[in-house]
This record gives sequence, C-alpha cells and structure tokens, in this order.
Amino acid sequence: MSDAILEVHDLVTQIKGDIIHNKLSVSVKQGEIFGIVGASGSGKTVLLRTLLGLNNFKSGNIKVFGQNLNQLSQHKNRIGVMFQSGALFSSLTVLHNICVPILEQNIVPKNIAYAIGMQKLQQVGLPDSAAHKMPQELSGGMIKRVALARALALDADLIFLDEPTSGLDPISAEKFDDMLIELQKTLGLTVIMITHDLGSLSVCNRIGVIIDQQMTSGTVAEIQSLQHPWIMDYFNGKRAQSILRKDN
Amino acid sequence: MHLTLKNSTLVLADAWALSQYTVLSTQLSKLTAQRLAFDNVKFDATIYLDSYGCYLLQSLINYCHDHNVNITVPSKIDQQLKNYNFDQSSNFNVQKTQDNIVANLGRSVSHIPQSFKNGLTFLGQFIDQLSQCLKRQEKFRSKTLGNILEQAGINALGIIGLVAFLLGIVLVYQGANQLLRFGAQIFTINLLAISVLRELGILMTAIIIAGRSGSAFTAELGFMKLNNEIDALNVMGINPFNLLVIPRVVGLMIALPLLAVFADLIALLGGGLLSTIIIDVSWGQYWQQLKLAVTPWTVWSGLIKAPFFGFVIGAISCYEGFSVSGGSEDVGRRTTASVVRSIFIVIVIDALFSVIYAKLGL
Repeated sequence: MSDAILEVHDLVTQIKGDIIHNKLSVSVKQGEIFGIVGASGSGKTVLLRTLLGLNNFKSGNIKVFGQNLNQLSQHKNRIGVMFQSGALFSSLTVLHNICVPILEQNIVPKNIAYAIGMQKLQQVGLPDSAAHKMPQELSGGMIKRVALARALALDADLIFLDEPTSGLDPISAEKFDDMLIELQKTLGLTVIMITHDLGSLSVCNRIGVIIDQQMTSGTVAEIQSLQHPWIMDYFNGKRAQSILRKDN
Repeated sequence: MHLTLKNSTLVLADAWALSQYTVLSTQLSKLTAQRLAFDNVKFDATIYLDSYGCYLLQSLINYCHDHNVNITVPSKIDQQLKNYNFDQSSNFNVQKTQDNIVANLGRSVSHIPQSFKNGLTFLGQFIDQLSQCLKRQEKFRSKTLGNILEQAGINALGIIGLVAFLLGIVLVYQGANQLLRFGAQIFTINLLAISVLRELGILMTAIIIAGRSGSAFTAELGFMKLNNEIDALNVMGINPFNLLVIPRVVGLMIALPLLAVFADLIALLGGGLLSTIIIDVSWGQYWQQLKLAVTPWTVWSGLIKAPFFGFVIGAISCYEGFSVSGGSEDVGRRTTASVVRSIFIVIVIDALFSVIYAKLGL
C-alpha cells in the first residue's frame, strides 16, 4: 500500500441534500497519470475539491501521502492545483502569479524564483512577452497555460488538473500531453486530472469513471471493455471512435 | 549525501529538489568559493532533479566550464537541462514602475474631460431609455423595480429608523443644553423640527442609502460586467440600461422620499421622547409646539430634495458599475468611488437647494 499516493475509501459527499458520491473508492499510485471522466454534473469537480479539502464530506476516508486529509496542511508545497477557470490572481502579473507559490515557500531567492517562473512559462508554451501581462489581458487558452504553470511551479509531487486541455487548440493539447509524460518521466510526478478530452486519455496510465455516484477505475482498455451503457456510449461515439482508432 | 567530495572529485547524488535547495545552494557556494577544491564532477545514478535542482546544476556546470573542471553530464540529465533552458544571465525587471505624485495628478486631471463626457453619455442614454419606457416603446421592468424597492427601501427601514431615532435624541440633547442659557428651552423643539425636516432627515437617509444600496449596485453591476453578462444581454437584444439601470435609478427615486418621510417621523419621535424627559414638556405640549414651528413648506422643502438625491445615488452607482474593467481590484476601486462621489454630489445638491431657498426667501 505504500506506493498509493492517494487513497479514497467509501467517500460520501452531499451538497445541499443531494448525494453526489455514494461510497466512492479509488486509489492512485505514485507516479501515475490518473484521468477522471464522467458525465457533466456527475461530480468530478466536487470530487477534486473534496480531495483538496475544499469541500466537506459526510463520511468515508481520504488519505493523501498516507495521511488523513485534515492533516494535509503540512503538505501544501507537495500539491499543485489548476482550477477549471484558471483562478489567476487578477491583481498580479502573469509572472507574479506563477511565482506566488514559490515565493511563499521562502526558500529560493527572488531572482531565482523569477527565473524558474520564466522557465515554467516557456514550459507551458507561452512567449516571454506574456510575463508582464495582467490576467485580464489574456485569452482563454493563455489563462489555462498560466494556471498550469502556476500548478507546476513547485514541482509538486501531486498535481490536480481540472480540464487542463479544454479550450486549447489540438496542437497545444498534444504538446501538453507530451509535457505531462515528460514530467512524469523526469520528476516522477503524480497527476490526477479531470478531462473530457479523449485524446488526453491516451496519456493516462489509468482512468476512473464516475458512474452512479461511484468510481470504477482501470486502464483505458479495461474501462473500454466494461458493459455499462454510459461507458459504451462514451467510447463508441463517433468522436471517440475517430480519435481512438488513430491511436491504435 | 547530495554532494560528496572525494579525492577532488565531486559526486552528485540523491534528490536535487526544492526541499533540499537551501542545503545544496550553501554547500555549492562554499565549494565554488574555494578555488580548485575539485577538478572532476561525477553523477551518481541515484540523482534526480526537479527544476530547482536543474537551476543549481546549471550554475554548477557554468562554473565548471569557466574554471576548466571536468564535467560530463549524462545524456538524460543533459536532455532535461536542455528542456528547461534556463536563462541565468537576465535580470528580471519585475518592479512595477512607480509613478510620482505629479504624474498621477496630471493623469487624473487629464482624465476629467473624458470622464465628464462618459458621464454625460450615460445621462443621455438614461434619459433616452427612460423616455422610451414612458412612451411605452420599451418594456418597463416593474418586477425588477419591485425587487429594488424591497432591497433598497423596505430592507433599509431598520437601520434608517435607528439612525433617525438617535439623530432626534442627539439634537434635543445639544439644543436643550444651549437654549437653557437663554431660558428658551421650549425652542429646542423648533430646532429639532426645522433641522430634521429641512436638512438632516433627508441628508442622513441619502448618505445611508449611498453607502448601503449605492455600493451594492456598483459591485453587482461591476461583477456582471466582468463576467460578460452585460455583453450577453446586449447580444440577446436586451438593453442593459433598460433592465439594470432604469429600475435601480427609478427605484431609488421612489424609495428615497418614502424613507425620508419615515426618517423624519422617527427622528421627531426620538426627539419628542427625549423632550418629555429632559425639558419637562408633555406629549401634548410637544405637539402644540411642533404645530407652531412647522409649516407644510418645512416638510416639503426637505422632501423635494429626496428624488434628486435618489437619482444622483442611483445614476452614479450604476455608472461606476458599468465602468468596471479589468479585475476584482477595479470593482473595489469603483465601489469606493461610487459611494464617495454619491455622497459628495448629494451634499453639493443640498447646498444648491439651500442657496435657492434663501434667494427665493423660502
């Protein structure tokens, strides 16, 4: 069990009377890219927020880095998060946004933090000229990338991404996928990402599908072979077929 | 160990990561400070680097190249370094350029004509939309108006009543003390009635509403603007002025006079209560004295101002809300501006009315 970086056991979450997850269990291993898929409104983002400690849950057990979630605060610098809408600080420039987590650690000197920040900016494929822009001057895709750069800033062990490739053009999305694999190889990152992008599923070592308030996880092939109507629709739709056929 | 020095060979091993950054950088700077402490650098198989480790390694490699130290970077790490491609030479100019006072003053002065023009445009649009509503060419949003009347009117009764009550008490206290010296304590009631009805009741109400509803309008519209909701309304063919501004401004123009009547009554009640206690008048005498002091015009001269104040507060807060651009910071700035400007203009108009009344001998 030691290599499980995240373990969720019998999680029950309820928001305003609606049960979102009913005894959901999942475990994510160190160094894997884990994709979460599910229909709109099936509670993917709620799960992510619960895992981050932003939502309360009714019952169940969440362990991150082998510790219960309520003690997570000491691991803040081991977790990077990218929210769906970016959640960039609107009063800070792009570079400052990326450097917020780095400077908050108070380990590296400012100029090195900025150098690393610039490097992260290049890593997500943004030009240097973007560094001094304000978030409101950015396009949707650029906001995504800056948010991603901020999530990556600390080279955290565990990174949560909420729909990282939505809103990116296919070329950037592919580059993003390559970058994830690269990071996983070089840094041994664990990535948990919510994605609707069928292309991105190919980089996932395993995926978890939220169906009927529970999660079924396995490799893409394993999930694909399940006989659940939603999964069959998901993988056998025209769009899915055209993408998956190319992969094989 | 991350760094081991053996027979002038430096061996790099283990995790070169952010958590080790402080240790690594101090050790490295110590080693590089002693000249020729090592002439060979080797990489242990256990080494792994994150971006912070790479940054340090890059500076070590640069040092080695400068000082003819033998270093062979394994291809895997070399690839990683190439991916990172740190630019160590550049200094990042991240300080925002601070403007001096003169420049700021100049800029704000140069903005005055533009904001005057914008304000005038807003006023024009408002009058245009209002006249279209009155001519029944555009829908009048009575439901929204109802909501506004509830939020800005009924829900404000509590705080306005409380403040007005205390205002009455304060006036009687101060007045009774001063007038006692002339033996004219009974005129405290005149003082109370005239000052509350002509000036203070309505002014106080306007200031509370500017702080309470004006700020809410600005923040609400400002957030809608940032969230592209105003654009969404425009493309749906719904005039945002018609939907958002008209009900708010008209709502305040209706609510403010009513609230002012309420404030006047409560202030007279509070003042009356204190009068019966400290200047020995019965409620009956208080009423008699009030009737002597107050003419219908005393009441009207205060209430006439109320719709103007309501218009000013509503229009300024909506204008500031629509002017929000940029981010959350601007919402805060605009909300502050909205309240400060509303109160300022309210007091200016109040002064104008005083001058007009005086000239007309009213």
